[in-house]
Amino acid sequence: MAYLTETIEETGTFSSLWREDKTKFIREELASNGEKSTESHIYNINDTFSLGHTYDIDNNIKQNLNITETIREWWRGEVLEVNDEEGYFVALLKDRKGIESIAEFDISSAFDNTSEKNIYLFPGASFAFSVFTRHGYGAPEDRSRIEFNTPHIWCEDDELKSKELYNQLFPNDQPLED
Amino acid sequence: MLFPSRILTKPADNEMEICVFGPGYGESIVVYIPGVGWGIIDSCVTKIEGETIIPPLLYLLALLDPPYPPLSFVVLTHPHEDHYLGLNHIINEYPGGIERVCRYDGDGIRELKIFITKQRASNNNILPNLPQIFNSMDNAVKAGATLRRLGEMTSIIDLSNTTIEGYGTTDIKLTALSPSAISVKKYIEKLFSLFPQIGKEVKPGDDKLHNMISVCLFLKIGTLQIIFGSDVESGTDDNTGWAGILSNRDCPDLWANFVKIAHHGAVSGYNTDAWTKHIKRGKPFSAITPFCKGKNSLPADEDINNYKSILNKIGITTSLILSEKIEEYYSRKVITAIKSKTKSFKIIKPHNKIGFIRYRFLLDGTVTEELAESPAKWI
Repeated sequence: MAYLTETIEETGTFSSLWREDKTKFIREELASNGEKSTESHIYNINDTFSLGHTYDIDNNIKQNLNITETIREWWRGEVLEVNDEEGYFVALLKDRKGIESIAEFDISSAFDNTSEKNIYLFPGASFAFSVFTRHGYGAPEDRSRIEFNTPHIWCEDDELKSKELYNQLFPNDQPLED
Repeated sequence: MLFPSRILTKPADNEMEICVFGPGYGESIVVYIPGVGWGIIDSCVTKIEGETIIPPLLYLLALLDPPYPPLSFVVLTHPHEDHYLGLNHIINEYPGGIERVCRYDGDGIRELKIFITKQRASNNNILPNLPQIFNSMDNAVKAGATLRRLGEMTSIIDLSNTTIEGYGTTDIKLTALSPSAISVKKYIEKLFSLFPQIGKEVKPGDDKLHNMISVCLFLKIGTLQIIFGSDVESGTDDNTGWAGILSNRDCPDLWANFVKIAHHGAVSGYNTDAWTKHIKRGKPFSAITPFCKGKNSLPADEDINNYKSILNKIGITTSLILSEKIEEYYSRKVITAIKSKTKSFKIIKPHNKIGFIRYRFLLDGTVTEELAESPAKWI
């Protein structure tokens, strides 16, 4: 008997975690000694500085310093549980081959302070975890990176957008009224 | 061969069948009711050698022969991904057609749809595929199926004096026992509290709230009483969950020959008063579909011990296999990075088999089959 064709909608895709129009929180760490760097991007609030803007720090580095990266492995993750008392969060990870894992991350390995953690870390939050080698000056460095999607800030425009979306998602229903 | 030929025997005309699938994340129950036909309660998907399949649909296609009989009913008990994934495929692709599509569709469903939409507008893909499930049910109704809107004490099947060859005549009643009106009211309040506010962050909220509108099903045929507990929780007061079911003055006496244990065997689905009734005439047969997502999978060992103390044996549809041998999957460099970032890292190993628990009963209560197809087992 033939298998059914897969048309099951995924709960998110790896590429969606790197949306250019979405801000994000990035935490990078040198694998060997735990040296950390953090890039915290700002929300989608209605402000010319921060509106939907992001920049790719790695692209800047590549252009200016001739540094390249080789992705060794990546996962997309979903936070299942946050244990503040013991300082860890549990996540379901899925790698590019579809292999699933359960991992416990130290909160301190992903966030510098409580305010960052409170914004980004909650059950259901999605993130990407990647391991890569950075090539450039000196010896290659093996690093890991964790990138959290920033929660969306609800704007007046979103009300209108959601009315249109409702009609697409539920075409058999009465449209949402203004 | 997804299903070995030795298990592909049809039930006799006077035999009731309950086949419970639960691949670790998901639950689906295929039932054959003499005098009524086949039905499916909820749906799940699993991966076998990389291919996504829908066990209840493939089971029926393997077991039955063309021309396929219509499915008497398809039930969505509540809007949780692990209970609905693949249901639209069943509705759209089962070749025999569907007679009844059944779901909770009362107050709060419009709000649920708005909630989903607003989350999607905020890039939160909560309850993936649920719009497709609702739309496929709507389309089935347009194609001639009957929509049954479920809630406390609503009927799916209500047949009187039906003659079953080899048994005699019997009434056949398949009834929803929940959700109660109070549960629905509380559900709507919770949904409203999660609606986005202008200028505030949009977060997906606690997914557990959808258990509040979970539909418990009660089947009575011949001398059999069967309870499908879905994800009904114990209840936060006398009017919700199992407590709400029991407090309904029209609730039948809930002794049972078989119980699909509620909420994946978790303690949150255990209600002492309900189980006092279930075991009143003897220990019922039972099945658990584990929920293997996360560090603390359901059921916990203490939950199993609790059920073992009141039941003879329990069929459990699968078990979670976690491997710490990450060197079998990733290179040394990757492992070094993983270890620098995580406290623990365990691979979820797939079974690559469709397991299930299957019971068959004669209508006088005699059990004719108890089958645990690996990785399902008895505990």
